[in-house]
Amino acid sequence: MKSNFLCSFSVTSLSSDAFDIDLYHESLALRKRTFVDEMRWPLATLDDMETDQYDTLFSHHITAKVDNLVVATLRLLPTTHNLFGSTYMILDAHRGRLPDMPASIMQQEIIDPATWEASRLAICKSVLPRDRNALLRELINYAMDFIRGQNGSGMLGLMNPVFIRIFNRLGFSVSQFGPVCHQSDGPICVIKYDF
Amino acid sequence: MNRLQDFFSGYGYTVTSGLATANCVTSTFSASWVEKYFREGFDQIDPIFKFAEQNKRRCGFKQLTDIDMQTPLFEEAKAVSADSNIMITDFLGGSTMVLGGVNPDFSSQHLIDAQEVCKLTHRQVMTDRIEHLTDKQIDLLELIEMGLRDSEISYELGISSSAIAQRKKAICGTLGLTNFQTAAQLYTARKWSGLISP
Repeated sequence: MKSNFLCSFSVTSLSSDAFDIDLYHESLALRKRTFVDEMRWPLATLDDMETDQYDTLFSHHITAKVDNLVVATLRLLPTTHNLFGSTYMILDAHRGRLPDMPASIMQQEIIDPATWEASRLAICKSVLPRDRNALLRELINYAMDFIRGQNGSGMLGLMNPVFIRIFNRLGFSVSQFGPVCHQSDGPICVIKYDF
Repeated sequence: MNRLQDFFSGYGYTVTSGLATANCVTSTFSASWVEKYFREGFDQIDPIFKFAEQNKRRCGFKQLTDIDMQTPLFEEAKAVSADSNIMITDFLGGSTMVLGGVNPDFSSQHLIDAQEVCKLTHRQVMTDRIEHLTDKQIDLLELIEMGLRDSEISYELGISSSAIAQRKKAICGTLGLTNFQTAAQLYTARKWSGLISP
C-alpha cells in the first residue's frame, strides 16, 4: 500500500455515558456538506447538520479525523432497530418505505442482533484519491472492531458493487447481498461483510 | 437540474472517438429518420458534422440562420421535426459529442446552460461505460488511483509493462477514449460517487 494516510478514529452515541456532542455535530455537519451542499440530495437539514429517522439513541457514529478535522463519517445501527415504524435504512428501502431509494434490494431480510448496518458513509473531498482506499479500509476495520465489541459478526452496507472486489482484495470477506440497482449516482447493491 | 429536453423540442447526439454512425446516436427523433439519415448519407452533408470537424478536439456552439437551413436536407428534416438549428460539440479525452437540437427561439441566455448540460450528458455517457470494464481492468485502475508507478503495478499484478500498456489501451477502447488519464479520472469519479462529491 503506497498511502501513508494517517488518521484517528472515534465513535460516539447519544445513549453513551461518554457522549461527545462536538463529535456528533461534526459527523452530521460533514454529512450535510457532502450529501446536501455538494451532491444536492434532497435530505432534511437543521442549520449545518443533516439528519434522518435513523439518527436515534441506538445509532453509533464513527468519525475519522486528520489534524483535528473530521474527514469521514459512518453510522452504525443494529439490524434489530425498530423505532416508531422505522427499522434500518436498508430494510426500510427493501420494503419500499423510502420513496427516494430502490426497493427489493436484499437477498433476504435480516433482523439479527449480530448483524449491524453501516450507512451515511461520507468522505470529505479533501481526501486525495490515492488515500481513499486506505481511509475506507481503516474506517471499516474500526467499525468491525466496534461491532465485535457488541458481540456482532456481520455488517450490511449499500455501495457501488465495484467495492466488493476492492474490499476482498483489501482482505475483507465481502459478498453481494441483493440485486444491483442503477441510480443517478451509478450502480448500488447491498454488500454483506462477515467477520 | 436542466436536461436536454428543457432546451430543445427535439435533439439527437452522437458520442464517438471516430466517425459517427447510426449505432452511436441517442435521439428523440424518430428511429426511421435516424436510420434514413445515415443510410442516405445525410451526415455527409449536414452542417453539424462539418462544424464538428472544424471544431475537432474543442467544445463549440453554433446557431444556424434561416438561410443556412434553406436546403433540401432541412426541408426533409422539418417534415419530421428534426430540423436542428443548434449545434453543440463537446470534447472529453478523445471522445467527441456532437449534438443537434431544435429550438427556433434559442437565445444567448440559454447557451451556457445548454453547453453545461451537454458536458454533463457526455460525461454521464462515458461514466456509464465503466460498467463494461473487466475485473482485471478495474484492478489496474485501482492501483493507478492509489498512485502506484507502472513498475510497482507490474510487481503487484504479476504482469509485464507491455501488458499494462495493453490493458490501458483496452480500457480506453471500452470507454471510447484516447486519453488514459481521462479514463482513470472517470473511474475514480464513478467509484466514489455517492460517498464524495465529484
